[in-house]
Amino acid sequence: MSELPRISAPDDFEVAVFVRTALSKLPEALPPDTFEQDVLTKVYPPQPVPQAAPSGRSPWTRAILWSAVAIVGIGLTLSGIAWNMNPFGSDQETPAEETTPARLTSPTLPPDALKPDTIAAAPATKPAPTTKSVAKKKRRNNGPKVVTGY
Amino acid sequence: MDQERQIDPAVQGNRTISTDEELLQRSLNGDEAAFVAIVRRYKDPITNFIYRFIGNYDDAVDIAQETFVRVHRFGHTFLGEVKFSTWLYTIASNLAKSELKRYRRRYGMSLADAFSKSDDDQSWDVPDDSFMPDERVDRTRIAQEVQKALMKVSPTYREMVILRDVQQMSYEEIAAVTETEMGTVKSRINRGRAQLQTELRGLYNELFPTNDV
Repeated sequence: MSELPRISAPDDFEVAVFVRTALSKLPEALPPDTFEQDVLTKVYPPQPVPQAAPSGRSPWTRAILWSAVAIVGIGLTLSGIAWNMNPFGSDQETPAEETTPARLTSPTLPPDALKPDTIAAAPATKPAPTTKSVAKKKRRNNGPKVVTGY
Repeated sequence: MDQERQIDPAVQGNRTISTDEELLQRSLNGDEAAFVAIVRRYKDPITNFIYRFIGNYDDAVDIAQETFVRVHRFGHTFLGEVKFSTWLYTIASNLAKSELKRYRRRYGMSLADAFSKSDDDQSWDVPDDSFMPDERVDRTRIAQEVQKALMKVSPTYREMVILRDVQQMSYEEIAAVTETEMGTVKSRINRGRAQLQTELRGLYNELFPTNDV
């Protein structure tokens, strides 16, 4: 009966067992609690919330536009105040309005009032006192002249 | 999350657990709860696989999420030629490899070098061992050292070692996930394990000295 050769384990057998055991006993690296939610967020992205009356402009653009409107408004207000405070500004237009003949613009005159016949037939009216006659009247009513120095 | 999602969507109705393929089909038909069930079923093993492969927890979580997003987006391309889980791991594996390449391009160094310089990225599973019993201290230290050693193994071997020894997949499944021949899978796993043994021999000798027994 021939003896079978004795087979021994390789030198590094123990280390090999140690390594494979250690690999199988490695602690499991578990994902965080938010893992599922994170995956679902990636797969089903949340729908954007509709906002009221989107203007399509960025907040910066809107801010600049509103600032420009405010500046123009303030400018108009200040110029209006300055215009009303100017004593010449308001008086310059008044004479132009007064130079317009009243009888040409007056709506009370009939259309044919300016015809020669109509003027002749019109009742005589006392003419308005001229500047000269008013001065004479004033002189007469002024009383005695006081002469001083004599 | 609405009320319906609080219940496990996979066991609603007649209380039978739907298969992955059924859930995917329902998800493709617009059943949101079915998709949630898929995520719940696979989020832990997928995150764990990616973390062990790339060694960075935050990136691993991000890639795991991206994996499920791809499932939702490209679910219609799943033809049922392989198991759904195989298809899922293939997506995760490809994304993880892309991340490794991107990392190498960006930083010009391997992940192992990067993570050996900062242990912060690996400290999530070892919060504080100051008051732990010796056995737990050893276990957490071993986990840390094994992860460091894993990051020093070349990615081609590392992926297969993780799928086999951490995720406990069969050789057939690994061949399907990595789209590699069975013989290549076995040889790569052996080479990966050999590299790990080289890296961890010092730790083993330290923990279990020969004159200890």
